[in-house]
Amino acid sequence: MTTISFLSRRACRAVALSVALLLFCADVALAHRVNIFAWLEGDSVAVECSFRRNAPVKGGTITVFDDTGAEVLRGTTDADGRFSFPVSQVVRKGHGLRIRINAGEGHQNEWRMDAAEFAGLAPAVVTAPTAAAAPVPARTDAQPEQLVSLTREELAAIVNGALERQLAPLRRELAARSEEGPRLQDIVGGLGWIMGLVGMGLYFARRRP
Amino acid sequence: MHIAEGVLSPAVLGAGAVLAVAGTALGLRRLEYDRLIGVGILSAAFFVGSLIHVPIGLASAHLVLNGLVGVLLGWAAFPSILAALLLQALLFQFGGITVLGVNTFTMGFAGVLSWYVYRGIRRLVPGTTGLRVAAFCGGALGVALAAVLTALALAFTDEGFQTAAGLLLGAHAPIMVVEGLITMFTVSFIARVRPEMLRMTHADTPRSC
Repeated sequence: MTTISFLSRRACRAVALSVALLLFCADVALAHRVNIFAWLEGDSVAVECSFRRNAPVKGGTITVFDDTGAEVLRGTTDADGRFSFPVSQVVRKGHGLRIRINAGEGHQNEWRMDAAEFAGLAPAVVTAPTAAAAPVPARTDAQPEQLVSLTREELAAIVNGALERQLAPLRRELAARSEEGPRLQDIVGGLGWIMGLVGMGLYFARRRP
Repeated sequence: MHIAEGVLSPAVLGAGAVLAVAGTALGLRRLEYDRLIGVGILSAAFFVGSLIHVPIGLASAHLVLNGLVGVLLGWAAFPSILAALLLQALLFQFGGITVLGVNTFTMGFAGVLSWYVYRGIRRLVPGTTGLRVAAFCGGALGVALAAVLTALALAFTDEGFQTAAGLLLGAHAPIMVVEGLITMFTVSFIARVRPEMLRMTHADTPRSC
């Protein structure tokens, strides 16, 4: 009996000590993998990193690469595990992006954004300055009676902007969906695999004399 | 404890793979027909264990269970952990295929070392007390040694051995206590209900060597 009480007392003390230690370093990563997802938000790319739900990666290093593997930019995540950067010139040249999060202790993950994701954005932004500069005065001269006259490009820019505002949360949701944890099917499937392997092992071990 | 893809250099990955293959071969050679089912059950426990989050204080950590697997299986922990890690990599995206060798070695070898410690303590301290203390130490050491070995694998990255070891050991201190207790209760339960399962682990080294 004394040994049990000694053990449990020791265990209690150890638990108390470790809880204190854990509270001390609550930001420390305690996960098997780190999640990352990124989505387009207007003219910038937003990145969100987490270990689990409600466990954001604070101060993780984000590195952005283009298709050729060259580093585009680097940054750190904030307290919510977020980081955002303006879509750079590299993307406008038709490159995709590879965004990497390194959260330390061997936790690393990547998110790919294909060039196609930026397709809607690139021409609109590039043509916007020229469209604003040249045709607008010409049109206003031609139709002075109308209250507001919009060029095709201006209209497109307004619609795109409104659409972008509506789509950004949807894009985030869609990106977040891909990073969900293991599902029940995966867990049960894995256990089935292990059972199958044991069965195979037993079969072959039995056939051996 | 799972190191992700793309963190380690090819040399470390290769060394890990070689060591894991050696350990698995040794484990399979010492594996007896009667214990195959036990290996499968513990593989399943390890596979699911890392999905169980233990809430401690504000944060929570997941179980590793490599100490328990090691104490109950000895060298056979290697094939058991390899199978579980492979399925975790394929189904949950924990770790990865290229790092499978390193992850198997860090967790498997830590399990084997804690098995030696468990046996040593059992020889020194006979009786139920010895069994309890030995099992607790085995379970706790499994996690601690896995943290040290993981840090060793990370020693050649930007992070360095000391930082990684400090962070990993600090983060897993509560898990060491929890797994020590789990192993203690499991082993003393098995000693009461199925004592032959423990005895086989003891007999296996002198017989097969």
